[in-house]
This record gives sequence, structure tokens and C-alpha cells, in this order.
Amino acid sequence: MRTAKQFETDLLRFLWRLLPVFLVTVCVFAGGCGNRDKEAAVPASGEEMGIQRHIRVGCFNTGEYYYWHDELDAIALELQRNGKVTGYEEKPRETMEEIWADLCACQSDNLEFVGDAYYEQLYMTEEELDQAIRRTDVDVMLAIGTTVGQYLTQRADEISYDYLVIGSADPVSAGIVKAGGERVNDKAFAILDENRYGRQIQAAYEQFGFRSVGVVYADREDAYSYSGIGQLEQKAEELGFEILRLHVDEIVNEGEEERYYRELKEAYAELAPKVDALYITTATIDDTMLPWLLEDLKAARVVTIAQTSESQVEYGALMHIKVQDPVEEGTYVASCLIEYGNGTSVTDLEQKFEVAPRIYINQKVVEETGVKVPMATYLVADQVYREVKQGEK
Amino acid sequence: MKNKNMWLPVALLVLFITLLCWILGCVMYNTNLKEVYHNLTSVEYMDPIENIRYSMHFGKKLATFSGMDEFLKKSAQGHPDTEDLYIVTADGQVLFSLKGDIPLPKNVASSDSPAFSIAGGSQYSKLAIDDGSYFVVKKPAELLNLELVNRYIRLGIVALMGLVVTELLILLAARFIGDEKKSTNVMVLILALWITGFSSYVGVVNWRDYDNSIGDMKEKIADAVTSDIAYVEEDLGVDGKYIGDLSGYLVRFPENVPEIRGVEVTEAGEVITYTDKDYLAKKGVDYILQTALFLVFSMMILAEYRMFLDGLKNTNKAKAEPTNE
Repeated sequence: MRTAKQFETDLLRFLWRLLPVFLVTVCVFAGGCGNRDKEAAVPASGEEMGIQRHIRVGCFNTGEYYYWHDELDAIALELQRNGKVTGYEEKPRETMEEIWADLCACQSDNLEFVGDAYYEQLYMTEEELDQAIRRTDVDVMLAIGTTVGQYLTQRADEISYDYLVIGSADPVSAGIVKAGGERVNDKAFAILDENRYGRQIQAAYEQFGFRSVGVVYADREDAYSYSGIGQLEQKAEELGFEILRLHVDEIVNEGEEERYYRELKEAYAELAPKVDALYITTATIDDTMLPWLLEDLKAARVVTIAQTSESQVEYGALMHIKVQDPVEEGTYVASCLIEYGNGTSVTDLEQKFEVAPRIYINQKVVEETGVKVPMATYLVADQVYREVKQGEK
Repeated sequence: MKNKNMWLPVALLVLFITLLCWILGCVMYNTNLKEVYHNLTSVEYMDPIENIRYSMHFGKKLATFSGMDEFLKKSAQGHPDTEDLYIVTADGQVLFSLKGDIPLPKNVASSDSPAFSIAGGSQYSKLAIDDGSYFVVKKPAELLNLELVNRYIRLGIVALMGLVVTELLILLAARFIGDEKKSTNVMVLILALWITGFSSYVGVVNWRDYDNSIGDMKEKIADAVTSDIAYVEEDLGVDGKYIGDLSGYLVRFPENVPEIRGVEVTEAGEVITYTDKDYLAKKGVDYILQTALFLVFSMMILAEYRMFLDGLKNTNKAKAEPTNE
């Protein structure tokens, strides 16, 4: 006989059979009508660093140059910020020697900046250079600039200290390190960004799609290196544009300025009717001379791309994509010094370092040249100058 | 009802089916409305995300992205309901945030968290920048919660009214149709109609929400384009004739919003957006399938119910005809 209990059993059985179907359906509905986002996982990390051993630091500088000046200052400021030195104030300093002197006067438990271990290669005699090479009271030398980096690499067998080459545009073509960052000896370290100019040229090409690029640099091996010509040639082959090059000797001695700027302007004028773009490479160009130097190029509606700095855009270059930054590089070098002091061998320090690029445009020059800049580029430009600063000429 | 024992199971099971349908309807509302909110947020912030991607194309790295703080401030302008913005890595590390000091809840930051989530009274939309990073938008969840509660109540009222009407109709059918088999079939038919009507109502409301959101998306895209052009022309001082590759910029919208086929700026500066009819048709099919699934599930309940009733009747019959023993 069927009872109320049997009815309850039937009801429960019925509900029990429905339960999985219900759960599956809820899950399906909870999935909605399609998700348009993707998920991914890439780890990131960061760590605090300290200094465990006493290290003595020297500075072997090629000469006075704004980029190296700012980089050395950034190293000092980062060490101060990290508490590895105390007493280094943030203030304008005229020369690199002044920065060094202030750094040497700082207090530090484990970092010793050796006061008389400061050299400027450009003004040194052979005897002084030998003396610098033979120093034994320095553990690590900050080798600033390509020329010093090359010099120390050539005489690496004679030196007792390690050296960190910084502020070198292309340490691979300069022979300071091998391609891919392979060391040429067990004392050298160099900040390495093998394709920085390649990225800069690629970005400029994407903006303007030029078919020919003009370039003027000194006909010397080191100028070829620091002007990033190797990377320009590589990109020309890859992207299919032509390079037109002229050579002008840079200023080496006082009194050569007039000759240099006259020859440079003539070279630019010669290139103007033949090229779509001009790559203003690293050289001893005073920014204030640029409005005058670039006159013929502007008249010929040539796009001018500054290799070195945004200040060239303020003075009349059309665009600069920053791929090297003394402050960011200096900050990184400071972290390398700390790591070195922590016991990491100079050959184990990570050499590869890329700065965050920034885009600078001079709108006045854009208008005078009559080119168009992509909308998307304007939206991400870090600075758009509306005027051209006037220079000396 | 001819058999007294039948009334209770019928009433209970109609209530049960209605309750289940209401729960399923609420789940569908919840899922779809959150998706609509998430999609609208993603359209709102698609432009800044594209700008970050474009900068990264030039080699910028998120961890050292110069000017990101300013960029986030600029991105939040025009979106007063935005509480905070975060740039996070896939492992949940916050690289930048608009307000700086407000941490992101762990369940939102982790890589396996859903694209849209609610935590601590706020809603979070996690929008992918690339494979290893996200742009997270935090907004108050009050509006969404209010809208959801409103929907649940409205659906509850529809369910209650439907329940009463269905019960009444079943009662009438049982009373006035003499043949027991016929009356059972009519009851099942009434229930089937009720379920179909209810699931269709839920489906239509969901589709209407989605359809309305497309209008909002188009409006937000038009706002983004207008404000970008105004930024370049007014803030940067660039004459429109020097702006190149506008189509290269506009293509980011259809590339990221599947509902949009194209965006155009007329010479008068008017922004026109075109919807992708093929995509909307596909989406319509998705919604129909979702409703159909709802219906199928409900019909399965009904079939089970029918079997249950048959079993009950057989038992009653057996009870009415005792064995010879």
C-alpha cells in the first residue's frame, strides 16, 4: 500500500535526480554569453639589496659631456636614495669632477670613492694614462664613454681592477664586449642595449615611411660606433630604405668650431634634396646651432630625427624617440655597484639594460616641413613642443 | 482534483518548478548584467589601454613606464564613477595605481580571478594589456547591485503571479475535465506554457539589456574619439591637417569591440559608429541558445514531474484495488 512516507520518498528521489541537471545548468548560465577577455600569467619580481663588502671606486672619464655628467650624478643620487651613501645633495653641479668630489666627501659604510682616482682621458699624457692603468688601490673603475672603454679593454692585461663601461653608445662595435654580451675579458662590464638605435630607426620609419635617410658623421671607427651607423645599416637592409652618408670631422681642438659647423651645414644642404629623412647622429653639435644647421633640410621638407636627445627637438629637429637616458642608466649602474659590493663578480653582472623610450615632437617643425604625424603617436607623445628655440646664428 | 492525494504534490511541484526557474533566471540576470557592465567598462578604457599598447610597441616597458601616473589621471578624467585604476602584472603585483595607497584585493589581483568581480562594495574589471599585465578599473558596485536587486524582485513578482495563475488553471482543469488522463495532459500543457513563457521573458530581458548596452558602447566610443581629437588639437595645439593615419587610430575600436564594425569621423567632426550585424546575429543566437537551455532544463523537470505523477497514480490505483490475499 502506498503511504505518505512512500510519497516523500518519491518526491526526494525526484529532487535528487534533478539536482545534477540543475547544477550543470547553473554553471552553464553563470558562464554567460561569452567572455571577451584573455587571461595570462607572467611572473615579475624585485628585491632589496645591501652592500656586504668594502669596495673602492674610481672614475675614468673620457671628457666632459652632458650625458655622462647626468649619468654620474644619477649614480650618486641613487646611492644616496638607497642609503648606501649619505651627504650627496641634489643640486646643480657644473662639472663631473665636481660631482666626483662631492661623492668622495659622502659617508658610506662600504663604498669608498677614491678622491684622486678621477681621470679625464682627453687631457691626459701617456705617463698619466700609464699611472691610471697601474693603480692598485681601486677595486672597480667607472669607465665613462666609448673611448675610455676601448682604452681599458686594450690594456686589460695590465690593470688590476674591474671596470664598468657606461655611457657607451655601442660597446659591441667598439670591441668592449662581444655581440650578445659575451665578455672579452674577466674584468669588463658594459651597459648593453644592442639594438637601441635599431628600435629608434624602426619607430621613426613606422611614422614616416621614408625611402632614403641621410646621415653625417666623422669618418672614424669610434664615430661609426657611437653614431649607431651599424644599426642604421641593418635597419636599412631590413626595411628597404637607402642610406646617403657624408663625413665631416668633428671638433677635436679649440678653434675648429667654425670649420665644423660650416662643413656640417654644407653636408646637410647637399643631402637635403636627395633624402626623405635625416638622422642627426651623436656628435659634438651644440644644440643652439641646430636652427641654423637645419634650414636647408626644413626648406626641402626633410624629416629630421634626433638620435641623442630631446633638446635637439626643442632646437628644431622634428622628432626624437628617447632610447637612452642618463638618469635611468645611472640608476641601473648604481644597482650594479651595489650588487658588485654584495659579492657578484663583474662578469656575472647583467649588462643588458633598456631604458623606457619617450617620444618628443616639435609641432612647429612638423608644420614647416608639412608632414603628418599619426594620430596614435600624438596620443602617446611625451612632449610636443610648439616653438623652435632660437640659437646663436 | 479527483484524488485528494494529488493536490499537494501538484501544488508543491508547481512551486518547486517556479522557484527553480526564478533561481535560474536570477543567475542568468546576474551573469549577463555583469558582462554588460564589464563590456561597457572595457569600451570606456579601451582607448587608454590601446595607447599603452602603442607605447609598448615602441619598446616602453610597463614596469618603467615613464609618465604613467599622469597618464592614469588623464585616463580617469571624464569617468567620474571611476574609484581607482591599477596596472598589475599577471602575478598580482600592482605596478601603478591612480590613488597610490589603496591596495587591490588579493582575489581581484590574482591571475586566476575572473575578468569581472565584486569585492568590498566595489566592482573590478580586469582588462588585458598584454599576456603579462592588466589594467584594472575599480568602480562602486551600488548601481549594479541595485539594478540586480530590482531585476530579482521584478522576476520574483512575475514568478509569483505566474505561479498563482498556473495553480488556478491547473485546479480548474482538474475540476472541469472529467477524464483523468486528459486532465493530467492539460495540467502538463499549462505547466509547459508557463515555463516557456517564463524562460522567454528572462531571455528577452537579457537580450534587451545587451542590446541597450550597444547603444551605450557606441556613445562611449564617440566620446573617446571626440576627446582624443580635442586633446591633440586643443591641448597639443596640432592643426587637424597635420594629423596623419586617422584610420590607423580608429581601427583600434572595431579591433577591440566585436560589436563594432567600423568608426568614421566626418569632415564636420561627427563620429559615426557602425555595428557588426553578423556579430550581433551570432550573439543573438547565443542568447536564444541560453534561453533554450533554460527551457530544456525546465522541460526536463516537467518530464520528471510527469513520471512522478504517473508513479503516484499507479500507486493510488493499486491502493484502490487491493489484492485477493
